[in-house]
Amino acid sequence: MKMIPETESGYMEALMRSLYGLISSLRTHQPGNRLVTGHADTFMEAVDALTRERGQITVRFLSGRVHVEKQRLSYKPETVAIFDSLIDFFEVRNIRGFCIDEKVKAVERDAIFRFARMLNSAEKRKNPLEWILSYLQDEEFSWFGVVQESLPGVEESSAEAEVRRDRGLKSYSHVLGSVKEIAGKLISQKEVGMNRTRRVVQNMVDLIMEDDPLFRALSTIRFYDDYTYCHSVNVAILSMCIGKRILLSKKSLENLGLCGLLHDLGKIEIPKEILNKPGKLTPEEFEIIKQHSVNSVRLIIKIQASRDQKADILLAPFEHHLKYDLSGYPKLEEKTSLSLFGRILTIADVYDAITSPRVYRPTILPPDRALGFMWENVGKDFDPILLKVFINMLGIYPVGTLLQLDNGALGIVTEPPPGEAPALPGRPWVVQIEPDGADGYERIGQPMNLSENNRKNSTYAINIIKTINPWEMGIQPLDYII
Amino acid sequence: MGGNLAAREIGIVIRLLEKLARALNVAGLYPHTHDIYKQAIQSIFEELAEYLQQNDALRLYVEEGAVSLEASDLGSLRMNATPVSASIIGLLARDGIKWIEFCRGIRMREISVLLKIFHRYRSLREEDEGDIVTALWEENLPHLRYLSKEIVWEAEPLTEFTKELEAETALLRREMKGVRMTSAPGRGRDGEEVGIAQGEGEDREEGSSGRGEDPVSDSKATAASSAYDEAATLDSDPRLWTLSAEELDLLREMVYAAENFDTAEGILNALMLILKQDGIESGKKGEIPEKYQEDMAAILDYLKEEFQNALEHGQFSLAFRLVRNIYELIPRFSEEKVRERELIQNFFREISAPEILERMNPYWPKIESISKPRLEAFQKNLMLLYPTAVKTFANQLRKTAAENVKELLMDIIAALSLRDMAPLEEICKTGDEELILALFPLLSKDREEDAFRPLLMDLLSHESPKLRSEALKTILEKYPEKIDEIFSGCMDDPDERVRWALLQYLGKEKNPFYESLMLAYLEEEKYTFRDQWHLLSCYRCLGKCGSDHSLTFLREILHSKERKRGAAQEMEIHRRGAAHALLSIGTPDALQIVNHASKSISRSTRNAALAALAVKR
Repeated sequence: MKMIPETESGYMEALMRSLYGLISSLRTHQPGNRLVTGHADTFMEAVDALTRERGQITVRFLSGRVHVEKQRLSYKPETVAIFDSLIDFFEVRNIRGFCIDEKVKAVERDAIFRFARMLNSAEKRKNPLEWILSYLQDEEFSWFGVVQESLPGVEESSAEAEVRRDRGLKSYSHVLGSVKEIAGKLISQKEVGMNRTRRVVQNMVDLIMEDDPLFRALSTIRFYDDYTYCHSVNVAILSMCIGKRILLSKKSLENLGLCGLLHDLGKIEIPKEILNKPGKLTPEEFEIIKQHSVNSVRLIIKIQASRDQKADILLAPFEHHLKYDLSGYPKLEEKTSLSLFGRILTIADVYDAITSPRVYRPTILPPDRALGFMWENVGKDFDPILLKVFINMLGIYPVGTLLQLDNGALGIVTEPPPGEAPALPGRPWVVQIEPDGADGYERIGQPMNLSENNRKNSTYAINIIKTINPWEMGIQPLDYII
Repeated sequence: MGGNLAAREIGIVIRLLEKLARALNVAGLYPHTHDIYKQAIQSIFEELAEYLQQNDALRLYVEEGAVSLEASDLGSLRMNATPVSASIIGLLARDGIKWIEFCRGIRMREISVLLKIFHRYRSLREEDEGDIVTALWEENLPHLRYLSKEIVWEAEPLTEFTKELEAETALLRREMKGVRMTSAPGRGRDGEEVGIAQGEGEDREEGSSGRGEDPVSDSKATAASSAYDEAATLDSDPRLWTLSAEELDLLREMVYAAENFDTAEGILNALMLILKQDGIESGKKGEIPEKYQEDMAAILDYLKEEFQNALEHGQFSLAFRLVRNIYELIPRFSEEKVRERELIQNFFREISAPEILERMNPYWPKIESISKPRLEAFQKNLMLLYPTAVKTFANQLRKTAAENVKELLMDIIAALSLRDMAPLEEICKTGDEELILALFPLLSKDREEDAFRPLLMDLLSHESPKLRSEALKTILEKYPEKIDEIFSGCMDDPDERVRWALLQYLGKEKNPFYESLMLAYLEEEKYTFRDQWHLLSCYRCLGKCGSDHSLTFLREILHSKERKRGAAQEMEIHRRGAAHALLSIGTPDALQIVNHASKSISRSTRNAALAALAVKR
């Protein structure tokens, strides 16, 4: 049996692990089984340690995270699956939390087993919670109570927001992990398949179908060190959001997402000294850089997948540096048009690139200027219709744009004004931020609508002075917008 | 729970799972159009229909080695896997399916799709293209729902974003010090743009006009910088980027086209560009690094599948553009690029295999009706294939009735065989009679340096008498000079038809060479067959092609009293044969010998001569 680290968080984690172990092992094993009794012993040991001083211990499931007392247990690779499963387990039974009293110490092991089995079988009841509560009337289970109220000070709405944020971040993280995994395997010349990547991208498609504003917000994430991978995820997200807007099928969204994820795969073959070289490149170096879209194709073709699957994801990465007028690179002998996916990818790629801080790129455009810059090249570099779709989707102040407001505060755009072609496109919703006194910023209040009028004189209450690049202020917009 | 109701529901679930498992086995054995497969689907459908008559859905919770059913009023019914159903439960659990639900209204097609998915992913490689969950997601079946666990990535470490973002922000602050950020003014109090901020910078690679196509040129770099600096903020007038009705129509068309877009042409262009680059690289560096060879192998593998797919869909122009492009690559790789040339050779060899070229079969009837110039162009393309393609084309030749296609196929087979005769040789050795017969028009055509003659000669030893006979006729017609070479073999052929064909040919006219062959054959008793038909045929043949030169031998036979040629009965045949031969020679000397013999005191000599004379009369 595993030793429990003798710290409070160690016991908390052990409590959750053993409870999960108990519940799952009793589904397939008899109570006398060593695995089952082992979990029961750990459970008792953890409860004993945690209730020694306080008399009882309270566990809550909030925003997809496990809180023991007021401490949120951190996700670790080895616990993430267990915690998620436990949350699912109790969610199905309509239980948001529970408390365990020290009385449990006097309870026989068999009663613990009966209790775990009771929880297991509640799942199939019409009203699981009611059914459980009726069981809990029994003296045998009096050490266990169901907790339904939220943590003091934690608003339900913010809890929901946290669930939303966590869900998005998890998806982002998994997709990021998956593209890194593909690249890693290709670098080390291992076989690489598409199974995991397809599952995470399909999952992301489902989430985008449900909540694309969340993902547009997530696409403001910028990782300096992991730029290429982070950029790939952002391009995938932005492309899928465009795809959703123009009503592509789910299958096409998946393919578009995969194209976005893999479009820069070829950069893994470029020496880091060239890729991250500050300043200008020599012509030879630039030729090497220009090889990356072709190299992406070379690598994608090595992925273990059918011809049909590859056919769906090869072309757009190849085309992503070809402009709408067919200039750009690689130079082609014969080419009459670019694929729709290629044109979408070009827009998403350029937008994310020119709004991202890189050591070799002395100028970083704020999102609104980036769109302005792209609009100036419409019809030459970009498909006019798709660029319009993109601008309509992001708004002229895209989510994450940092604004200097005329009330002296800084504001970050949280969502564009409503409507396909909003009446007041220059007046989005913003959240105000101010210095927190510790080299950072904190959010003030709830998001506000800049189109709101001042009641006295019918003028706008707050106006935009200018946009600022968030990186200039060391701000990750995502911290404030979801 | 309990009672008859529970037993009934448990029974349905167990039967359903077992039927699914059996159907999965059937799917591995029979095509999906087969009656047995259809019956298996029907049986599952009926089982489900029985349950769904009284319930909206059948949801099965999946565990390792068991499923449970949420049954109305009965609570949870847990069922351990039976030996039969274990395979299905195992598959669902393997891919992390928590529950699967069959809803009322489910169709047979949906069940069939589910089974195809199970079949396709029955065994999963470590690095596969997908699994049951990805396939179910893709199919999006309306009456089949499921919930899956994130098993594929649940063991992976999750990025702790809050912490990472904090760390990244700090890093950005540090790294970005000194980097010039552009800032843009707002649109003023009434939303109007009031000016553009200045800034400088360049983008060396990404971005549009500012991608810095020439990073060395200061002027261009500056231009790129100023392109950024001068970038206006977007006009706040929404009409500018509102999509017009016309644009919305175009967009719909674009989406429709993309959903039905065949990327093959574009991909071909891309891959050819890469392969050409590899050729150039090899020229530059003297030796292609191993990496290029690996890439080349992977690309050619993909193109092989692309070719196969194009054939399957009747996209011949794409398929053969691909082949031609690759063919044209060969000169880019110099002679010493052995490996690269070998890869291209392999490509041609593989695409010429029957299992690939047979994908064309359904389209041959259409090919019959295409115009002559297009047919010629098509023929040129097919001629680029590897000679192994001969097997497929020969098979097609036998099935084709249309003269134009027959002609085309024969020309291709001939051209490919002239490059390598082995596939055609193999067909002639191991092919069935009908297939080889179909090739005779080809084998009998005049070709360079009698290329097919050895094949015809070999066919004389084929086990099929019909083929031996046809081969003999062809050889006699095309290569009469070879008669000496084939004579004894054919005269010993076990089949009368072969011998008859030869004798017929030899006896067509007076010919001293043929006479000498027949004379020696009979005189030296080279024959294996001593039956009446064979011997009489030989004498008759000698008579037809012979002259007075044979009279001595024939007179001797006719008057022979010795039993040197075997039994009295056989000697009788010889005498009769000789009499017939002499009458056929028909010269006065020959006729005199017969007339004289008809008056012989030897009864057997007299009888032979009289019999021959009677036949002649």
